[in-house]
Amino acid sequence: MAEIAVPKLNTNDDSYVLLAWLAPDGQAVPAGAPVAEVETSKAVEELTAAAGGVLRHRAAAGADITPGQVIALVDDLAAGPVEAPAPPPAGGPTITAPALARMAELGISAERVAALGRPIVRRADIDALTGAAPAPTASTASTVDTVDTASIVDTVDTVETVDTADTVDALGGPSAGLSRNQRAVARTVARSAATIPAAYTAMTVDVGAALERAPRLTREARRPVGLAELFVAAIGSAHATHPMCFARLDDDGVTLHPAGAAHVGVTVDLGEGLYVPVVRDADTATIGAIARTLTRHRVAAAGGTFRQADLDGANITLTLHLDAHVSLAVPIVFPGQTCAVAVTAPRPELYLDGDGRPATRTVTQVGLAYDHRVINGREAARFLTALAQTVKEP
Amino acid sequence: MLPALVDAPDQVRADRAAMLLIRHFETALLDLFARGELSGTTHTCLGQEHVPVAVSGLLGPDDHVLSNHRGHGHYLARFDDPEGLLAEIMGRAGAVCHGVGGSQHIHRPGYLSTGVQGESLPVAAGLALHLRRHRPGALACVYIGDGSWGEGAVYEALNLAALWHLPLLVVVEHNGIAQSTPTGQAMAGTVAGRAAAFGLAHTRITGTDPAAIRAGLAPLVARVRAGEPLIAEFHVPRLGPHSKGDDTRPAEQVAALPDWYPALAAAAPELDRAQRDRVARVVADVSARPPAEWTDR
Amino acid sequence: MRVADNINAALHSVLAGDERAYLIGEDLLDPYGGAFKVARGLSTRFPDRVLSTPISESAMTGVAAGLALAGDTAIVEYMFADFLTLGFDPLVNFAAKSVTMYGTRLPMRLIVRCPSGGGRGYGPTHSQTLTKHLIGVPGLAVFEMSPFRDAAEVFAEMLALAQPCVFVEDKILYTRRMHAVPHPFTASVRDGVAYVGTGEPPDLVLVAPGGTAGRAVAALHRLLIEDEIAGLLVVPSRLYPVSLDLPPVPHVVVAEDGTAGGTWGAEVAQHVHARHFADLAAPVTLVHAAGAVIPAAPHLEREVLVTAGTIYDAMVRTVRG
Ligand SMILES: Cc1ncc(C[n+]2csc(CCOP(=O)(O)OP(=O)(O)O)c2C)c(N)n1
Repeated sequence: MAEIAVPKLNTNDDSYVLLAWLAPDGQAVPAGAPVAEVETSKAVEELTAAAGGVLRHRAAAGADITPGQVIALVDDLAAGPVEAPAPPPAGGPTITAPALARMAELGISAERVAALGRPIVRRADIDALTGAAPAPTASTASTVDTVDTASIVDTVDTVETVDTADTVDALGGPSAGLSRNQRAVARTVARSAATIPAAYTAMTVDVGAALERAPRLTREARRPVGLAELFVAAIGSAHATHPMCFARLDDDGVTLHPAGAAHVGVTVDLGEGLYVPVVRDADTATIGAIARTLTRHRVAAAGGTFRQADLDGANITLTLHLDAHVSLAVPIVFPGQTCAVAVTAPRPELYLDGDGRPATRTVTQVGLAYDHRVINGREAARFLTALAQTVKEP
Repeated sequence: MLPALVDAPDQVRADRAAMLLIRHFETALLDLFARGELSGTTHTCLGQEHVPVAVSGLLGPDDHVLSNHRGHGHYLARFDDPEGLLAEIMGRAGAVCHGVGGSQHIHRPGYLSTGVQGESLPVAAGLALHLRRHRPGALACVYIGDGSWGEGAVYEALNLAALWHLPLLVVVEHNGIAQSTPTGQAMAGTVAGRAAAFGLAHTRITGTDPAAIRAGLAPLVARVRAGEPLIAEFHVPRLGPHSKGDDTRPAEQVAALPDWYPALAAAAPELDRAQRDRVARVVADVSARPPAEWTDR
Repeated sequence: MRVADNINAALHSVLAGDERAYLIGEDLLDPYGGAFKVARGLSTRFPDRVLSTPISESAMTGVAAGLALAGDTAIVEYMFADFLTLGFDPLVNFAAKSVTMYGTRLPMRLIVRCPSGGGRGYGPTHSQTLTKHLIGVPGLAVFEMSPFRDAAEVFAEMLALAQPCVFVEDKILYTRRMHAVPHPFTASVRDGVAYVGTGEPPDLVLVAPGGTAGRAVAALHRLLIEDEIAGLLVVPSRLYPVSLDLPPVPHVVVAEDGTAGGTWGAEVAQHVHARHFADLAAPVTLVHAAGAVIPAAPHLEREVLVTAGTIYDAMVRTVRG
C-alpha cells in the first residue's frame, strides 16, 4: 500500500485546497497517473500516484489540506485493502477515535454506524448500538508496555489517571484519544503482535572505544556521529554474513525473500511523533553518508516534512532508546521484516580486568527482537556478536 | 568598469573574488527558494555587490557597520563567512544568530542589521557618538536604500550628525526603486539636495570597480573619521526582484540594466568557477546540517 | 473565496460606495497591489483615491487622520503590523484622542489595516501581533478579520463608530478560504460575533480572534475526535472594547497570537470572570505566544507561536484539571 501525501508546493501557504479528484474513489490507477487537483494561493497543481493500484480517497474534494497530509492510499492490487476499519464515507457522520476503536473491537461496520443517522458518533453510541457494557480502555496497556519506551508508558499513565478522575463521567467519555501519529504506530504494533511470533535476545556491548572514536568521525563527516550512526553502519556490515536477519517472510509463512542490500529503518522521535525513516544501502554506505542521511531525517522529523520515500523500504529496524537510565527495551518486529535491534543508553559498568582488579567501562544493552519463524536464538546471538565486534573495532 | 589589474594584483583578486562570491551566494539563495528549501523571505543584492566590496576596504576593525534588509553583501564583504550567513538564513547549526534573526537581523561584534527601514540611522548616530569618544578615528557606516529616505527618523539623525560632528558614513544604495515604487514617485528632490539642506558632504558614485571607488572615497572617509559626516550615494541597478518572484518591472527593462558580471566572468573564468563551486559546497554543507538551537533567550 | 479576496472586495465596495473614501499605504499601485495583494485592482479603478506613499508610516497615518478630521473616510494599509510603532503618535496621541479631547465629539472615520502574525518565517520585526499595545486607548477600537464574517460588514461597523479603528489581518489567514469549517462544525454569526460549534451544548468555550480561527477550529475538531469533548469557538470581530455573551459553560479558554504579558486574553478573562463567574468551574485559561521574540527559522518559530497543538493541549488541561 502506498500513500499519497500532499507535497510542499510553495513557501507561502501552509494549506491548500483539494480542488477535485481526477480519479474516483475505488478506481484502479496506473503509476504516474494524475489523481487530484490541488489549488495553492498561486496556482493549481496535479498530484500523481507514485505507485499503481486501487485509489482510496482519504479527503473530500473541496477540503483544506496541508503539506504532509495523506489524502489517499493506493492499495496494492494483489494484496487487497489492509486498513480496517474504513473511515466514514464522505458526507457520513463524524466518528470519534474512541468510537472507531470500539467499532473495531466489536466488529461493527461503518454502514451500521452511519445508519444511526447521527452527525457525531461517540463511543457511548457504539455501546448503545450493541447493548455492550463499556469496556476498559487500558486493555492494550500490557502489550504496549513491553513494546516501547517511556513515551508510550506515559500514555498509559495518562489513561489510568483519566479513568479514575471524577470529571470523566461529567464529560460522558471515559477514554483518552491517541494522536494521529500514535494511531498509526498502534496499527503497526498491533499487526506485528498479531502476526509475528517474536523472541528476544540481549547482549551487553562495550561501547567505550566507539564513543571515543565518535568525535573524530563527527569532525571528519562534519555531521554528528554517535551510537545511532555507528550501529546503522554495524548492522549494514552484518548484512553479508547474516542475510536471514534482513529477509522478508511471506504471509504464507514459508516463502522467504532475502534482501539484496541492508536498508535500515531508524526510530526518530523529536516529540512530534514517532517516525522510522530509512538509511538505504547501509551495507555499502560510508559512515559520513550514514551521518548525512540521519541528519536529513532528523531535520525532516523536526519539521514533519518527510517524503514517503524516506519512510519506505526498510528491511531491518534500529530502535534507539538513548534517554538516560533506559536499560532495557524490547522492540517490536515491523511487519515484513525479521529483526529489530534496540540500543539503550550507555552507562558505566564496574568489571574485573585481566588482573582481577575492578575497573570501569561504558556499556550498552543491545537487544534483538526477531521473528522466530525465520531465525533461532543461536543466529540471533551471532548477529549480536557481529554487531558488538564491528562497533568495537570496525 | 571592471576591477582592473593595476599595481595591486592581490587586492584586485580579492575584490573580484568578493563580488563573485556575493553574486553566486545570492543566486544560490533564489535557487533554494525556487526549490522550496528556504522559507520566510530574502532580499538579494544582485547588481549591487561592488558597493560593500568597495566600502569594506575602507573600514577598519574598530568601525561599526549597520546594515538593512538587503544585507547579505554587506555581511559577506565584511566577514567572508557564507557558511554562517547561509546557516542563519536556513536556520541550521552554525547560524550567526542561531536562526533567530534570519536574513535581515544579523549581529556580530561591529556589525548589525535590522529590517525596519530608517530605524538604523539614529542608532548609527549613537554608535558614532560612542566611537568618537572611545575609539577616536573610528566611524559608524550605515547602509540605506533610496526608498528609506521616506522615513522621518533619517532626517532627525542627519540633523544630529551634522550638529554634533559625528563620524558617520551614510552609504546610500540608490537602485531607483523601493519594492515596487520607482524613486521618482517617492522622493521629491534628490539625495544631494537633502544632504545640502543639512550642510552635509555628499558624493555620487556610479562605477563598479572597487579600487577606483576607494581611491575616490578615501580622502572623504578620512574626513568622516575626523567628524565630518558623509553621504556617499551609489547609483546601482537592482537586477533581481525585491524579494522573490515579486518584480513588477517589465522584463525588457530589467534585462537592459547594466551588469558587471558577464565581463568579469569572462575576464576571470577560473575565479568565477571557483566561487561558484565554493558556494555550491557551502549550500551542500549547510543544507545537511541539523537545525539551529536557540538556548540563550 | 479566500480571505484576501474578501477584504479586497470589501475595499472595492467602500471606495465605490463612498466618494470621500481613500486608501493610503505603501506599494499599493497595480500591478503590485500591496505586499499581500489585498489592494489589487483598486488603484486602477480609483486612481485619485488610492495613494501609494513613500516609506513613511508616520506621515501616512497622520495624513489619514487629517482626511478623517476633514470628514473623509480614510483607510490606511500598513505593510506589516510591526511598523504600527512608527505611526503610534498620529494614531494614539492625535487621531484617537481627538475624538474626545476637544470637549465635543469629533467623528473620525479612520481604519488602520495591519497584516499581523507569524508563521511565515519573516523574523522578529515582521511577524508580530501588536493588539495588546492598542487596547485601553480611549477613542481607539480594535477589530480583527475572521474567516467567518464578510469584511464588508465589519468595515461598515467600524465606519459607523466614527472613531479610529485598527483592523488586524492575519497574514496566514489571507490564503485561507472564507466560511470553511470541517464537519460536523457549523458557523453562525450573532451581533458581530461568530460562533463555531456542533450544535450540542458545549463543555467548553474557546474565545479566539479571527487570525487564530484556523488553528482554533483544528484544535476543537481534535478535541471532539480524540477526547469526545464538545467545544464552542467564539470569534468576536471587535476585540476591544470587549463585550461577550457566552453560554453557561464550566470552562473558558482564550487563545491569541500576542506574546505573554499584558495580553488581550487577560482583558477577556477579566470580562468573563466578571460576567460569568457563577458558571465557571475554573479560572479562564490563557493561551498566547511565548514571551519571546518571534524567530525566523521555522522550527524555532513553532516553539514560540501558538499552534493548534498548543490550543488543544490547553483545552485538555483545562477540562481535566
Ligand atoms: C518601516 C518599514 N516600512 C516598510 C518596510 C517594508 N520594506 C522592506 S524593504 C522596502 C523597500 C526599501 O526600499 P529601499 O530603501 O530603496 O531599499 P531597496 O529595497 O531598494 O534596497 C520596504 C518598503 C520595512 N521593512 N520597514
